[in-house]
Amino acid sequence: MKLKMLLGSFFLLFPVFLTGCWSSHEVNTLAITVCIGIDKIENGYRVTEQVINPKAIASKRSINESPIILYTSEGQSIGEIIQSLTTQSSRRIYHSHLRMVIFGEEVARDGIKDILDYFMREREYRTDFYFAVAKGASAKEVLSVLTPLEAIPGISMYSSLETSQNFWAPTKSIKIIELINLITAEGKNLVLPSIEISAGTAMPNSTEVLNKDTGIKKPIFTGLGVFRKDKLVGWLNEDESKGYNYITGNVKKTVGTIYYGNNDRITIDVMKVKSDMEVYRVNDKPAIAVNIDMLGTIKTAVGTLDVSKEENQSLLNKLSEDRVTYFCNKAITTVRTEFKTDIFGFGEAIHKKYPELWGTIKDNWNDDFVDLPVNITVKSKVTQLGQITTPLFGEEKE
Amino acid sequence: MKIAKISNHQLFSLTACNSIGVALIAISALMVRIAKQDAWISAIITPIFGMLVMLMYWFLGSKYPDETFVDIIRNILGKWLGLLVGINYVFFYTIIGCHLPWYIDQFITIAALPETPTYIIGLLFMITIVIAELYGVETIARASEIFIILISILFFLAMLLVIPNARIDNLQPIFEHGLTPILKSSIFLTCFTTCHLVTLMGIYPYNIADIFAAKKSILKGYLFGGFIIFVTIIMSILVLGQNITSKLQYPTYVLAKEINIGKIFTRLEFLIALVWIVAIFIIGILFFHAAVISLAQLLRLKDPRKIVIPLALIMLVLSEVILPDIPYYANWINLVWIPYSITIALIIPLLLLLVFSLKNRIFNKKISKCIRT
Repeated sequence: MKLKMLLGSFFLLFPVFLTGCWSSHEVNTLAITVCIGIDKIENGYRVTEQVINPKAIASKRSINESPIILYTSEGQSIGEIIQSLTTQSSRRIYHSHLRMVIFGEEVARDGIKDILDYFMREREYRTDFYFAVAKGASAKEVLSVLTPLEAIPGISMYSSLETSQNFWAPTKSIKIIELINLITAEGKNLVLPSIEISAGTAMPNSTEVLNKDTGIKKPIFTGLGVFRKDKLVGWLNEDESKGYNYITGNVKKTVGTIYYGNNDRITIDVMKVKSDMEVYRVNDKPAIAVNIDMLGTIKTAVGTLDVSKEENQSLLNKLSEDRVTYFCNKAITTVRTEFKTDIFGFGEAIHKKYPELWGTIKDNWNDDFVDLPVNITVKSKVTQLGQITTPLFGEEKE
Repeated sequence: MKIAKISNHQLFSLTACNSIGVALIAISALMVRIAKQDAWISAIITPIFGMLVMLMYWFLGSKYPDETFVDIIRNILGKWLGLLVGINYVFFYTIIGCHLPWYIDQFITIAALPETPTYIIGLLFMITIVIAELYGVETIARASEIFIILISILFFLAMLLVIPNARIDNLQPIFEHGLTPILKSSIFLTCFTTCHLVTLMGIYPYNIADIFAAKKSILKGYLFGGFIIFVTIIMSILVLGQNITSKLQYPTYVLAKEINIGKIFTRLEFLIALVWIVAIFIIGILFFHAAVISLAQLLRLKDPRKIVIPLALIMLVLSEVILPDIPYYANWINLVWIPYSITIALIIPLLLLLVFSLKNRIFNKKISKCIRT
């Protein structure tokens, strides 16, 4: 009897566990998106999603299919547009693996505030993807470029931004938390990396082009876009972006070339950069001193200058200091004359040191910032010469 | 029937879980909204004040070491007034206890499973609590002893891993808006970490083995909980900045999303979710146990287990009704929770203490008069 009851209750309870999981989505019902591009159209946005084509990525045989699929839709609200993409895609689009968000230039000029709300509120998005602004092309065009080394362009762009942030001074990677903090911060404004399609003969929009051609176009990070609040106001070129990153202490490692005389070109591998911003108060007015310390190694030395001599050491240091000072001053001058927006965070530094002084000047800071005295001091030390001491061909006389 | 007695270390872990509980995942948003980047200072101030409250509970219990809270109230206030205050406490335990399944199901639906009905999540939570309650106080205490180790390891691991993202200048300038917002926000923190501890009176002093050593373990547990809350608040400000923290629903959860070390330690936000759910589970049991025991005492039931399932069903249904949506909840905190919790957890025990000492004094005078004459 007891056994019967036990068996009966077992069979009654059994179906409860057979129903499977609630809210479950199998991987083969999801379309994983790696990159979202947002462009401005007449009234609203055009959203392009770069979705991974699992057949082309995962199969062992080489399939002649594009590794990505682009879905595009238009509308007024980002959330609505993205949901409506399901009418084109056979699978539900899944955003947790998003790597990049690319704004079209017009969207950025119009303001990105309204878009960011969606990315922060929606549950599926994490906080680890990067942002960039497309320059000279629409976001859709940037997304449609296939890349050779990394099959998925979104991941290629992500890795390239991350690597260049570590090894090349002009780029800067920004994630959503920092992005929002920069937009809302007082006395500091946003910059975003700009992405272009490089010059070339062939547009890689199919895998055949990617296999055959040599002069293919690639997505490339070129410099920084300058924002006032959430609106794009202009671009910094490579030198100015370098200057920006030196001032804000965002350079990890980079390479720079200094020129001496007519023929001598010495490239220095910058191994370590430390920069700090100090605020002074002079006659109830703020003043900024930026101190940059750097440590370098010689990468290449072309010309006759004997870098191994001690007296030339100080010359090298001096030249590289001048070079970095030039970048920094150029960045500051351009930003002051053309954009009038404090992207360097001078205002924030004043706010942190002299809160009450900041209270009196914060209202029209972006205008006052133009007259702020900024002093840049660079200290450079070129300590190592690489594997060669004296120049290989230095003593040849023609 | 043999009375279940719990050790002092178990009391420590119960107190710690209880004061971490509700606050862990969401409190920093509330605090930072008021005190901006200085919220961490009020997280230091609050425990100093809270320790006085803990001492008050301990003192109250130490005078009647073998009685339950309802009996203490009845002893101090007499039969009818005691009944009234006792009913008040049962009401508090039941109504606020209903919020705990609500917290869990809101969190799970927002963060992980948007399509699952909230009733199912609440049901699972309540079933676990009912099972724990039927096993008795000793089991609950032992479970909390294990859980506090789990909580500490996972929590500090998550916070350690997020340190590389911290930026010290998010804390500056210190004291920008003066002391008032800091004190104001510490009221919030008191309501969320200290006032819940009145549920400890469900097991204290009746189930405590050594009442005088209990003082130390209650204070230790409370300070440990306070330290964990302090770490969450300061890390939220350091990593996310005050602006974003104040606008988030679950700042600590987003904080854990930021963990990224060498691309290996990523996507660890469920560490924090796990810590929080475990802590909420302990606090849920304590609320439920306090409600069951107090009601049984008021009704003078011989076996409190008989009302466990009915009360659980009531609380389950109530949990879905009592808080309709999140804006209502935000409003409810300001309008109801602060005055209500302060009344229940601070003012009434204080009055009990006052009446107790007055009674004692008068009584003692009478005795000494009797002796003199």
